[in-house]
Amino acid sequence: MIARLSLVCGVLAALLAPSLLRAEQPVLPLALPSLERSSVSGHLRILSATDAEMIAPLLQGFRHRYPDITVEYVEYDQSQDLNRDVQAACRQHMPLADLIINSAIDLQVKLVNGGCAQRQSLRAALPEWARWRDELYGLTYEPVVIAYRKSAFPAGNPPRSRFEMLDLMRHDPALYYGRVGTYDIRSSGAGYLFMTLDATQASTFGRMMESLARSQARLVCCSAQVLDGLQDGSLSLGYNILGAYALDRQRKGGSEIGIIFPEDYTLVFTRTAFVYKFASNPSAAAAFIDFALSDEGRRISREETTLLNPIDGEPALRVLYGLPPDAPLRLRPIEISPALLLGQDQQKRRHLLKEWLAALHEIASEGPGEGW
Amino acid sequence: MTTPYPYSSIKARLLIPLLAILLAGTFALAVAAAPYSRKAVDSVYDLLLAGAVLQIGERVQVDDGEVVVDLPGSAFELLALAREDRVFYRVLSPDGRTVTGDDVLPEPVRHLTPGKPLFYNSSVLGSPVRVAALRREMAERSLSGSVLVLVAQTMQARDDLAETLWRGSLVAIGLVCLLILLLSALAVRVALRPLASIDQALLAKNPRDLSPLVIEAPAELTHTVSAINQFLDRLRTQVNSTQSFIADVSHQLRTAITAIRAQAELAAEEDDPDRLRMLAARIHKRSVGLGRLSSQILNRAMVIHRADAVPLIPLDLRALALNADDLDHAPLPKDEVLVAGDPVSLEEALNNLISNAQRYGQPPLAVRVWQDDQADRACLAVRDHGQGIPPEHWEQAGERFNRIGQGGAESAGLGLAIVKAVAEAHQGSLLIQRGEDGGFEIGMSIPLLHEEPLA
Repeated sequence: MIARLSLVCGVLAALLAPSLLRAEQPVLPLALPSLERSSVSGHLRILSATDAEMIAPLLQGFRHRYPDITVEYVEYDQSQDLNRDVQAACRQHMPLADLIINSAIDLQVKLVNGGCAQRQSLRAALPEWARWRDELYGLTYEPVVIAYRKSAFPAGNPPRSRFEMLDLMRHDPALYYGRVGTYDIRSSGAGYLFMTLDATQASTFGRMMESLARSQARLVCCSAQVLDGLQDGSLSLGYNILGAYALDRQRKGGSEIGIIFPEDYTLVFTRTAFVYKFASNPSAAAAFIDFALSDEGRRISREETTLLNPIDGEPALRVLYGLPPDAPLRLRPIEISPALLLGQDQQKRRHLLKEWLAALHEIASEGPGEGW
Repeated sequence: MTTPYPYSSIKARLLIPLLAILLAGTFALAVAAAPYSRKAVDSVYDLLLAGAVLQIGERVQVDDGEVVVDLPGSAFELLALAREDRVFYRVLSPDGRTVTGDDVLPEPVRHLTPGKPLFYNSSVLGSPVRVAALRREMAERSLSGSVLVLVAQTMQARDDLAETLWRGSLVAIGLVCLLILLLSALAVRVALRPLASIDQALLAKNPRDLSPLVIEAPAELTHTVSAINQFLDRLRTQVNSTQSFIADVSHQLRTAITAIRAQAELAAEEDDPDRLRMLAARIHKRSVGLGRLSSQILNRAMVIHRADAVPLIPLDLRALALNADDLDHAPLPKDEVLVAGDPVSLEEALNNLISNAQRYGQPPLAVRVWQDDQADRACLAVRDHGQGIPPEHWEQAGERFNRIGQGGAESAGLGLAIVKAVAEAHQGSLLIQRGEDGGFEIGMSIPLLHEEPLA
């Protein structure tokens, strides 16, 4: 009889459990139907602030895997423009695209925080730092590096860290006058993010501002323009350059370009993607994320692109950049978390921009898109 | 529980209510645990919100007549501890303008004490959030009034932790429930063990041994043991009296039979016809007496058997009196005189009373029935006008084979014994008294039956 009674106890508890819990849990959107090849079809519209050429192998692989999905890839030059469009559409509950990919993590976090994303249930084994709320997923693993022109350092002694870079610029200002390139943070979303992180993470930030100002650093919109300058010899150093782009350029005839992982710390960021709240084909969008993080997708990002992915992480990065296993690396992945909202605060942003402008007041901005 | 009726087992009687209490308790605990764990979780996460809102509040300044906030990174790090939750904040200037943050975050409806965070539930963009609100009084030359700082967070982390806590407490409650059940089963088993010792003491007894049980019984069972002992006591008395009755009866029968045999032997050697006739008359008289004795013995046995075996029914003593034929009866009461009785036994008793009165009393005889309200008794008696039993023998009247006064050889001395036995079988007693007019009355008084007749 005792066994029977305890069974009753257990059954009662089991019956009780879901009914009580249901009241406490927020209503989750329905889990996606299984992402089988046959079940997903239709049109997939991706808005992305990523060079189409960089991500092309991944798109190709996706098309191959899901032949029933037609992919439309809309490329934005500026992450802030992309962000503005999504925000505007999201506010009006308008359909705009299915998948949003952007390198400016803080902008993406702000959109997701504002409810512009759909929750997914994907199997991806992403590390904690590269995912948020089952809505925002990190697809790439990209170091933020110092790029240099090899012929500008004939002795083979480019700066290995921020400290060395500062010392060089202070020691020989004339040599670097007008020959250092970095972001114009007014127009570059990623540049602004890196700067806010530099500001909070390093004691070198103030001196870096000062040195950049003194050497009349060139302010540009994008890594590509710095790399152009390094290639044509008009620049010697590029600060906070996207490693993936630098490596890609190096491989495509830019043998002049050298890459340094700053030894004090190297930021690593992940290009994040989310399924847009008012997507017309959310399952196709989820399928893309799922594919990018699948074994096949990861193989492509590792072998056919320079983007890498958060799951493979540091070991794959060493292989890709040809670093010996014992080379010192201080990688600091940027964690996707609500803490990134700080930099996007209106007052904070205004304040930082004001400070930055004050520091660089002598520097004339070339403005985005004008090229060198 | 092998019996088909669970309530026929004391274990089941104890365990089933116990289980019901346990289940009700478990249910109540489980229900109570959910809001309790929620409350605990809320108070912890509210501290995070409080920390963030206080840190932000501290950074509110007035610059050139404008409210400015230099948001501290630590506040966001604090909020990001609930990693999966969305964060909203808003700073409002005294004129109600949003200085920075999300317009979508609703303002508190309650009054705020400056410097003291207030917590409330609200919703942002359709998601439920927990809000901490802080009012800071600004008193600058260029601006005075209160600045409102709101920080809100969705409740994913709270829900997760509350659920984890609740599930944990359910497991604990379930285990305790199981443990209590096992211990109760054990306790019941231990508590019921003394019952078995009574069984064993009874079973171990020699069938002829009617002496009281001598066992150590717990307080609750002393009544049972003493009831068993009282029963054994009565049984012993009963057996003793039956044995002495049998001894008496066999003595009586043997005496009567010996007398008849002696007369018959005398008669066999007698030649004188007159004496022979006399002897025959004596033998006849003795035989009649013997016949009556044996029928009384049988009647008494019947009465005693019926007292044990026949259920009592409501009956009116007046009807009994009317049935006694060829007798006068004194005027009967107008109302019925109800008792719970066995009509056959009562009639037998009445017959014995009448026959005693006919034999020893003086006519006129009468049957009387009356109701003694004071003693709550119904009385049935036969009255004659003879000497009756002398008062000094009233005490012994009704004892077996106790012939009082006039009883001759033909009297068996069992008539009154039967009457007494019937009276006692009806919780009554023998009634002997002198009537108002000098008559002698002997009968029974039996408790009256009130209200509902016995079923």
